[in-house]
Amino acid sequence: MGHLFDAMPPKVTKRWVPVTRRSKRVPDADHLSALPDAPLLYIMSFPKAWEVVRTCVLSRRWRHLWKSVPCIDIRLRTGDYIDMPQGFTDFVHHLFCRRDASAKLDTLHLRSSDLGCAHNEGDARLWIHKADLA
Amino acid sequence: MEVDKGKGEAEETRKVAEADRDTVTLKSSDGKLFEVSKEAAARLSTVLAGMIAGGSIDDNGTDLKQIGSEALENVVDYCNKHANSIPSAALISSSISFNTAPFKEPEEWERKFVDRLSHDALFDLVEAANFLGMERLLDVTCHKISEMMKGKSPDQIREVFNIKNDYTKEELEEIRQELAWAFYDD
Repeated sequence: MGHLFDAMPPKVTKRWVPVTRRSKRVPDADHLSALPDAPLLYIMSFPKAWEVVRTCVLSRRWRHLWKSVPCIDIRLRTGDYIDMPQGFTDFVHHLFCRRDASAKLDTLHLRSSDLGCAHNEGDARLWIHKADLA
Repeated sequence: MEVDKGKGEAEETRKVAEADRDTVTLKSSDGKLFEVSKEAAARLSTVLAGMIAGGSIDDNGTDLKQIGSEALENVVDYCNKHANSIPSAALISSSISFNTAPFKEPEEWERKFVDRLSHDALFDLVEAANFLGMERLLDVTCHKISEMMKGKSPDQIREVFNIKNDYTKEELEEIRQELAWAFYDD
């Protein structure tokens, strides 16, 4: 297994090491955690950044995965108010500091905030700068 | 009419006819045969494209021992639907610069295609797409899985995907403290 991801150059995000195929279907099996890192990190590129970080509590398999996700989405919308971490700028700061420095970051989703004081232009400039260095 | 034709010649005629076919026959791990458009297979799967170009396609059914019949049926269904849909500009550009292009949203029919799959079938299709080097199908299936995670708490995610929490209470407490900045203040 694993043609597509194996064939790609190492800098590419979506690499995939060979998979041992499930020989028999186990009821209630955890197919998601059984995926190799590359497709899992790709899957984790879509949810909001705080949801991604919180996956660390799922199980040991997930503890450090969030640190290597290649795409960070910190766009805030009105509906995110109930779910986002308190102190949003602190959250983003921690996120950049704790990421795996060797993991490639290819996309940062950012937008001006609906939520008044959540972050300002200076914060946004700093984050874009940090993302570039990551 | 064919009475004078020797067996070898008939065989030869058959082979030429097979080479001209516009479909290829694929065989699942459990021995079921599926026909798929040669053009769509070559365009959507790097592995099948290589096999077609290299002449390693078996007219009696190319063995794909790693893929079960249910997953292969979905692969073939996807290829046929893809062959019949008019590719959007977004899809064309994503297939050209896959390595750097951001993800292109699934088309309406792709969304419907993955939405009807069972949990097991979805993950089997991820494996099949990976094996066959079908990058667009991988994108679409992985995107579907991510949608099943979105907006859910860790407990809800564990429930949806049957993830077993193997942390000790102490470990979990340590992580919650270490990453308090990502959670709400309880």
